[in-house]
Formats: sequence, C-alpha cells, structure tokens
Amino acid sequence: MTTLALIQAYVPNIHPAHIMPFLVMLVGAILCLIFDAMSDKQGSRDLLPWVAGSTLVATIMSLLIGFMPYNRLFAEETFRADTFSVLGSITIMLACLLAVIMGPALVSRRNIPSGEFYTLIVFVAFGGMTMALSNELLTAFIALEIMSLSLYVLTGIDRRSSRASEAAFKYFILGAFASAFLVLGIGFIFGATHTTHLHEIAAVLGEGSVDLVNGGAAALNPIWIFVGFALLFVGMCFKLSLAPFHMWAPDVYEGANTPTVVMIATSSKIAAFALMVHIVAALARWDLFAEGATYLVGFVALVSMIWGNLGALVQSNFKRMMAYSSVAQTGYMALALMVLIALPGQLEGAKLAAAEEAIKNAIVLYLVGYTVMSALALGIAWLIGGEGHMAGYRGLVFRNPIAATGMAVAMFSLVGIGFTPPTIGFMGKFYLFKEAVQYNFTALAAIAVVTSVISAFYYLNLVVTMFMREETEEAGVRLACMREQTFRLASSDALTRVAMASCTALIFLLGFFPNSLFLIADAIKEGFLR
Amino acid sequence: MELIIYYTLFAITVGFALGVLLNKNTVKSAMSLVGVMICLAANFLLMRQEFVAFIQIIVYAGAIMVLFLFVIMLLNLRERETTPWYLRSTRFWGGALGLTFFFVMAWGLQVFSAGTTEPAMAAVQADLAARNTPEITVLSTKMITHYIVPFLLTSVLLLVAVIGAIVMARRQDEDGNEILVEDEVA
Amino acid sequence: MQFLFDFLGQFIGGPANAFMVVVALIKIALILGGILQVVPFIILFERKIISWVQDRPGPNRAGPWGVLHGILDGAKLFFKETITPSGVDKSLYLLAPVIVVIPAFVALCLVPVGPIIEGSHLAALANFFGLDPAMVGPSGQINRIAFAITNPNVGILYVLAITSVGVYGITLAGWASNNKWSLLGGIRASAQMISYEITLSLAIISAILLSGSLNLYDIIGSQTAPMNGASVNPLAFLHWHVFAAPVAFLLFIVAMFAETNRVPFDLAEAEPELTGGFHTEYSSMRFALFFLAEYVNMIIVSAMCSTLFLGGYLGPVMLDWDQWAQWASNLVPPQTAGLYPLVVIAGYLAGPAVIFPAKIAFFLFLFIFARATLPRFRYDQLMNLGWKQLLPIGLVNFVLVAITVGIDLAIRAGMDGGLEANKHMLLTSKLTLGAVTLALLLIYDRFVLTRNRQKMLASEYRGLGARRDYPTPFVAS
Repeated sequence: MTTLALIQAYVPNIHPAHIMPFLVMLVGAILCLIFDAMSDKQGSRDLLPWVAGSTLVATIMSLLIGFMPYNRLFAEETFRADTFSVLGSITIMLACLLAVIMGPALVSRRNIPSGEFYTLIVFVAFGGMTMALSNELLTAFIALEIMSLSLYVLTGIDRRSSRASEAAFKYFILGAFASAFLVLGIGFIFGATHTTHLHEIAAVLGEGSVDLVNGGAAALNPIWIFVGFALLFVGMCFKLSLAPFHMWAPDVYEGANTPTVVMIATSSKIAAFALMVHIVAALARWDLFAEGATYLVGFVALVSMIWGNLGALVQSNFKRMMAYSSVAQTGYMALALMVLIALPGQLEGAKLAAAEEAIKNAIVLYLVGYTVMSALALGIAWLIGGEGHMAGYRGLVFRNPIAATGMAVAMFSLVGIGFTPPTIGFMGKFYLFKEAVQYNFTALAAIAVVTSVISAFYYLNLVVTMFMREETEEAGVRLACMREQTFRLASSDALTRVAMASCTALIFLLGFFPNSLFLIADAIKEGFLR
Repeated sequence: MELIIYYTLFAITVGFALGVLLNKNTVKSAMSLVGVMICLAANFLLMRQEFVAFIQIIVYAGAIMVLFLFVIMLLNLRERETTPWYLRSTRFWGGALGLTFFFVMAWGLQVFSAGTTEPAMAAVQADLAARNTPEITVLSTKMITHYIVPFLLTSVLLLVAVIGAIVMARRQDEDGNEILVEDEVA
Repeated sequence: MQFLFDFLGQFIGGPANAFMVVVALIKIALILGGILQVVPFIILFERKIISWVQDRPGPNRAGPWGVLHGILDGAKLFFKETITPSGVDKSLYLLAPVIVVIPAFVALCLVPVGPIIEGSHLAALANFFGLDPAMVGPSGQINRIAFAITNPNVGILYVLAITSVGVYGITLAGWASNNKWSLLGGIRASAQMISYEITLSLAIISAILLSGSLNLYDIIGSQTAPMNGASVNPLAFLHWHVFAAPVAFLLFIVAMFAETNRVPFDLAEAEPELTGGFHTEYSSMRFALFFLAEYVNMIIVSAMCSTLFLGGYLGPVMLDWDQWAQWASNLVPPQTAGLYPLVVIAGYLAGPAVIFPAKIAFFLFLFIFARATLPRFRYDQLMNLGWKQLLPIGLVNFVLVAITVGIDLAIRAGMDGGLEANKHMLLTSKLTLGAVTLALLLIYDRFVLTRNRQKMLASEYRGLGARRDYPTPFVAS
C-alpha cells in the first residue's frame, strides 16, 4: 500500500456541512468560555447570555435550513435526522434558550459564575441534540453524559444554597448509578450483535445471526439482547424520572434553580425519548424481543402514571408537585413507547411503517406540548417568585391577574382531558390514548384516563387557590419573601414575560392546529428553507 | 490450559470483588478494587487483547484508584459509620437482586449453549483465534474512522467535566465571591 | 549441545520448548541477577560522587577504595532485627514493600537489552553451538531470539502499566504505618506520581508517534540508520528520537526524576520534614526492599529513556557486522572461517555489554549529580511545575511532533508519487522541526516562565511563603 493510500484510509467520511449544527454549538460554547475568561469587568459579562442565546438561535437556524441529509445516515453512520429528532432538537434548543433568558437574574442575585453557567447550558443543549440525532449507542451514551454532567453542575451551581448542593449530590450519585446500568446494557447489546450502530443491530436481528471476523456466523443469543435492553431501559428510566426510578426528581426539582429545572424537565426528557424511540425501532422488528419488552415498558408506564399522580396529590410545594406531575406525564409517553414496541406483532409492511410514524408523531407532539406547558408553569412561578409553598398562590388573581391566568392555562393544559378550548395538552393526550386504544391496550388507556382525572384534582387545586381563595397576609409575605430572594433584572424579566406569552400562544395554537408542528418538519424534509 | 487459568482467575476476581464489598476498612476495600481491575486486565490478556488490558491497568489501577486512595487517606476514614435502620434491609435486597441477575445470566448462557450446534460453537472459537493478530492498528483505524464521532465527543465530555469540577471545587468566601489564587499571593 | 535439549524436551513437549525455557532462564539469570549485583555498586557510586562534589573522601573503609561498602550495607540490613511497630495495619504494612518491589522487577523483563538475532546470523550461531537447524534457525521452529526476557506487542504500555502500580506500595506504606509523617509522605508520593505520569506519558507519546509502534523493539528499530551499502555510518546517532523531539526528551527526564521520587522531587521522604517519609517505620529487610526498588526503578526509567530517545542498545556509529565479519575472515585465511560467528557475536554483544550500560550509567550519573546539587521542591512548586508548566509544554510539543510526523508522511507520499527527493530530506525535516521545537521552548522559557518565576519569588519575599491551597490531611493520632 502506498503512503497516500495509507493516509486516505485514515480519513473519516464526514461532510463538514452535515455536522454544521454541532459545529455551531461547540464554537458557541467555547466562545462563551473565552468571552468569560477575557472579560475583566462584570459589565462585559452581561453580554454572555447574548452569546449563549445567539448560539442556540443559530443552531435552530442551521437545523431548520437543513444542512443534514434527511432520514439518511451521515457522519460515519453515526447520526440520522428524522422528524422526531429534528423537532426534538429544536425543542431542546428552545427550552435551553428559555433557561438562558431566565439566567441573568439568577446569576446576578445569587452570585453565580456566569461564564460557566451559560457554557453549561449550551452543553446541555449540545448533549441533548447529539443524543436525539444519534444512530449509535456509544455516541448516545457519551452525549447523555455530556448533558447529565452539565445538569448536575447546573443543579448545584448555587453553592451558597445547601438545598441545591444536596439536590446536586443526589442527582449526581443516582445519575452516575443509572449511567452504569445504561452502559452495561449497551455492552450486552454489543456483545450479542457485535455492533453499536442501530441500523446494523436491526440488520443483525433481522438475520438472526452474527457475522464473525473470520467470515463465519454465530447464532444470536436472545437473552443477552433482552437483558441488555432491560438494563439500558432501567438507566433511561432514571434519566426520564419514570417510576419506580423517580426518587431523585422531587428533591432535585425543589433544590435546583428554576432555569435548570426547566431543562431537566424538558430537554433531558426529549433527548432521552428520542433515543428510546430509535432504539426501540431498531430492536422491535424482532418478535421475541417485543413480547418481553412490552411487559417491561408497560409496567413502568403503569406505575409511573399511578404513582406520579398520587404522589402529586399530597404535595404542598409547587416544584415538588411539578416533579411528580412530570413522572406522570412521562408515564403517558412511556405508554406510547410500549405501543411502539408491540406494533410489529400486530401489523406488517407499509401499514406498520405508517402506524409507527403516527405513534412517533403522537409522542413528539406530546413532548413538545409538555415542554411548552411545563416551561410556562415554571416560568410564571419563577417570575412571581412562587417556587415554594403553594399557599403563596392564594388569591393571586387579585394581585397579578395576568400571571394567574397564564398559570391557569398551563394547569388546564396539563390536565388535558375534557376541557375546552382544546389545548396542546388535550390534543397530545388524545392522540396518545387513541393510539393505545387502537392497538388493543384498552385497559392501560382506561387507567391513563382515570389517572388523568386524578391529576385534575391537584392541577385544578392550584387554579382554585389562585382564583377562589381570599388573599391572606401570609400568602403575600410568602411570595414577597421569595421575590426578595430571587429578585431579578428588569430586562431579563421582560424577555421571560415575552417567552411566557409565546408559550401561552403556542398552547392554543398547537391545540387548535396540532398538524402545524409537522408542517415545520415537512418544510425541513423538503429542503424548503435551504 | 486456558480453561484452568480462566477458572483460577475467575476465583481470584470474585474473591477480590467480595473483598470490596465485605471489607470494613475503606483502604482495604479500595485495594481489593485495584485487585479486581488487575484481574479484569488479566482476563483481557486471556482474550489476547493486550492493548485493552494495559489501558485498563493504566487508567483504572494506575490513575483512578490512586485518586480514590488519595481521597480516602485525606479524609482518614478509619471508623465505620453506623448504618441507619432503614438501610439495613438494603443489604438483603441488594444481595437478592444480584443473585437473581446472576442466575438470569447463567440461564442465558445455558440456553445459549444448549441451543447452539457444534459448528456454531466452533465458529465462535475460530473467531476468537482469528483475533490473535495485533489489534492496535485495527482498533486505532476503527477509532479514527468509523467511531470518530464518539471519540471526539469524549473530548467534549472531558471539557464539561473539567468545567464542572472547577465550578464545584472553587473556593468561595462567605458572600460567594470566588477567591483567586493570584489575589492571595499578590 | 543439541542432545541437552533433546533430553530435556522429553519432559516438556519437544526440544524447541526446552530450548525456549532454557534461553528464558538464562536471560532472567543474566538480567535480573546482573541488576541485583549492580545495585550495591550504584549506591557506592552515588556516595562517592556526592562526596567528591562536597569535597570529602566518602566511603573508604570497607575494602580498597571502599568497594565493599554497598555490599556490607546490604548485609547489615539483612541481619538487623525486623521490627513491626504496634498500631500498624499489619497486613497492609507487610504487603507494601512487596507491592513496591514486584512491579520494579516485572518491568525489568521488558527492557530490550540487545538486538534480536534472526536470519543468517541465527543460522550461523546455531551452527556454532551445534543446534538442529529445524529447531533453531531462519526456517526452524524458533526463528528469532531477542535480548529481552519478553517482547509484547504493546511493550511501552506494559512498562507504563506496571510502574503505575508501584505507587500503591508507597502510598500504602505511608498509610499502614499509622504515623502522621508516613501518611504525609505517602499522600505526597501518590499526588506527585499521578501528576507527573501525565507529563511522562506525553513525552512517551512523542516517541511513539515518531516510531509508529508501541513495541519497544520497533521503537528502537525506527531509530536505526539506513546503511546504504556502506560498512560504517558515522552519523547514525542523528536518527535518535532525541534530535527529532528534544523537548519530549527533556520532559521525560524531568518526569522520570519525579516518578522515581528522587531529588529534587523527593518530597515523599524529605528527611528534614518527615523523618524518612513513607518508610519511617520500616526497618531491616523491609526497608531494604524499598531501597532496592528505588534503584531498580532508576535503572528502568534510564533504560526506557535510552530506548525511547537515545536508540537503546544502538551505538552512535553504526557498523554493518556482515561486512566486518567478511573482512575479519579475509584477514586470516583460510581455516579460520569460524571467525565469522565470533565477529557477529561481538557485534551483538556490543549493545548489551557496552553501549546500553553506558547510556544507563549516564542517566544514573544525572540522577546522582542532581541529588548533589539541587535543593528540594516545595509541594506547591511541585504542583505548579507539573500542572501549569510541564503539562502545557507537553501538549504543545505533542502537536509539534505530530506535525513532524505529518510532514514525514507527506514527503513519503510525495516520493511514492515520483517526487525527486533527496535521500536526506526525511532526516533533515525531522531535525529542523526538532530544532524549532527546542527554540520555541527556550523562547517560552525566556519570556513567560522566567517572568512568572520572578513574580512568584517576589511575592514569597514579601513574607507570604507557601500558599494554603494544597491538601493537608486531618490526622487523628
């Protein structure tokens, strides 16, 4: 072999334009760091959120313009951009953008190192996007770790707060434990199939045998794959805060600062679900797997729906309530995931592909909806300082009618069922439950509806507290205290308000026209914006 | 011959692993973990993966576990903390879960070997033998071509870890202002 | 001699096996035994040199010129009472010296002391010793014999892995002694060895990059000069990696001082502060084991440094032994055709017997001379040097060496493509880049490091002294 050929054999097959969003993010993150290191005075550090924010916006633009080949493998078969992952990535970016917008108030008041704060937010977005787009388990795992590590640090970044430190510690220990399960699962799957690329795993499962180095083939071991998936799923359940692996969620939500909670509640879940959907799509064509995994995922979904909703009922702290509510909401999505696994047993061919597409769309719609709803709820709580005890919300409508209305919209949407006008929460649940009933999971769907009714108690309890309870001295003091503690800059406040207004608008827009979401996906697919 | 070495190694590895769990002395626990790491490296050697084996020793036994020991000694954890009552049962449940996992694995292996025909087993063994060639070139070529993305992402992960470590370990005064080393010296 | 192996082969499956076992035993006996015998004399050597530096006679009682001093020291330690202080953690206390010694001796197995014998030379030697060519010979069962106990594919990694385990011994010795000075020594040792292992690895990576292999023999082979038909190549030493990567060589030297806990990095056993550090509570043979391991480690790092950067057993001038043997056999006609193997053997033995020991002795002298002349670092200075100065230099140097290799590849690719290249172009480009790297280091030192040093010194004169930001353990006793 000549030297030139030798060199050429070592050049990876990556088109720079294909990985444009990743490059934009990395450059942005490093710019944040350098900007922080170069600026001596506090004044110039105030520009940091703009650097981070424009990075995120530029990434969204580069995702929209569609540099990446659509639904085809690229960058050494490591990534694949389909509707789910592109829409998910954009939503991740938006959630992180909200965190950046909320940031300046937190940074200035709590004396947080701003350079690291914004850099880590960009890295959360980077990890989430990489995970959502990845077609390869190692990449997904490392991306997950990038995202998780950033989130652990962001949780405990307010080092004067002992609650934050406690939360960060719990999150870190349990998260690291979950990662161990995850990587062990990946190891088993690799051991059984000799590859970590999802499309190759699917191919191996289709053949039923593994190609060996010397040209021979060995039979596939079903146990390895099933154990691998089970371990991987357990790890992902930790990250998704699905019961019974949700124990960290309430403490972390309560202890962490609200911008971080927004990201934990939304970005990490979107990324994890995107990955799960891709893995399940690769594995599910194998009927033996589908049988077992349906029970596993179904069990977790069931427990999450029940436990999350019952747990939320007894909470008096707003953020803890949101934590349990997130457990329940993720449970509904896990239900759809289970249907996705079970599908190949019921349908075949083009019908199967169409049905899978429909379920994936239902999940992504619900994910986007959940992001918007929880961002709205948490953002308003942040604005009015209502992140603590819910007694502070008594008679909020008399003091701050706009905030109370916005919060009410978020709560109605989170309940989802049977309330007019149709909100995104309603449409999301409608599609999810419809899919479940359509493919003969009526009992689970019924349980989901019942638990949704239970959820109405605590969501609407907050609405009742805001609108129908007398304002008391104590409540005002409570909110005032919180507000004093988390007092924030006017500009950041104004931008957050704008973001909240657009969230409210989105709830109704997507509620009335859920398909408009997929218009964006179609536009990207057609290269319309290029 | 290899089988004898394998079983001996297996026994030693399990012994060390039990040592990690059962030793009340944290330093001895950590040393047992070092033993486990070295035994794992020996296992890799048995599979003729020299590169992985020595990287395993360099990274785990040579760097990470030394840091473990370093921290343990700095904290000087000689006394065992008493276990609160609600954690006492975890030992039982953890043991039960671990045993369950072990039996599932054993069952899987059993099913696998029972369901495999002789030629297939021969193919697996031939596969192992075919790996007898120097693996470093194969490994590195894979790493900078087919697996280039995870390889590069690792550097991003390390960057995040460094940022996180700095944020978490930076010393602060009571108001949360960071203390710079330069300020202290100048 | 064949009958011997035929006889032994009956017991262990064939004469080839027997031959391998016997050769391995001979190698082990020569290398391990040789080193063990040499250590007392190194100690003597050290004490003599230090005494000369300090203008005093040094050890001169035991035997003429004090030659028996080191051996008698060993004998004294051997006959002393072994004391186990009360309150120590017995098992770890006893284990620690063993953990220190074993990696040191295992690493000795890797050192490539001399060249590999193969091809026609092996045939000639087999003929000389009357061995069956089907067993030993170019086409026999054993077709190469190396002057090293083992020769794994990833030799340099093996050395790194084994030596990195040795730190446990020192750390545990410090901890198990139940003595706060010992503990401090152990902690310092572990922190120091981890910190400088990074620099060491970065320096090693430069050599690996230049040679494109992890095998120690391949690394030496890449420093071999092409003979181009001549019988002598007087400039062969220019192919040593030290000239292509001078900065990596310097980094390696600094790191190797730190890895062996020698002055100026001997904080772990700083006598004025820690009364002996980690080995304070050890006496008799247990102490001797620590002592032995330290010297064996010095020999190993010296051998590694020569292997990686100074061409190992290769001499500065390369001779083609085939041509010299031809010449020698022509000299005395004609019944002395048997001279050929002797000249070849001489050629093979020149490396292990003269050149390699000379290189190791050079580094040992460096160790000793540093001990006689340099003061000890303070802990913060140590960390400062390791993390803030050597690590960045190492990283930048790594990139520059990678560029060197890239240019090398580009030239080779061009030559494949028909570029009319001067045969010295490859060497010249490497040497030029090496010089550039060294110049960059000097400039960096002159304009950045010197300024920082002055700033630090100035602040220390203002009475601040050591900073508070290094870890101090809480010691209950």
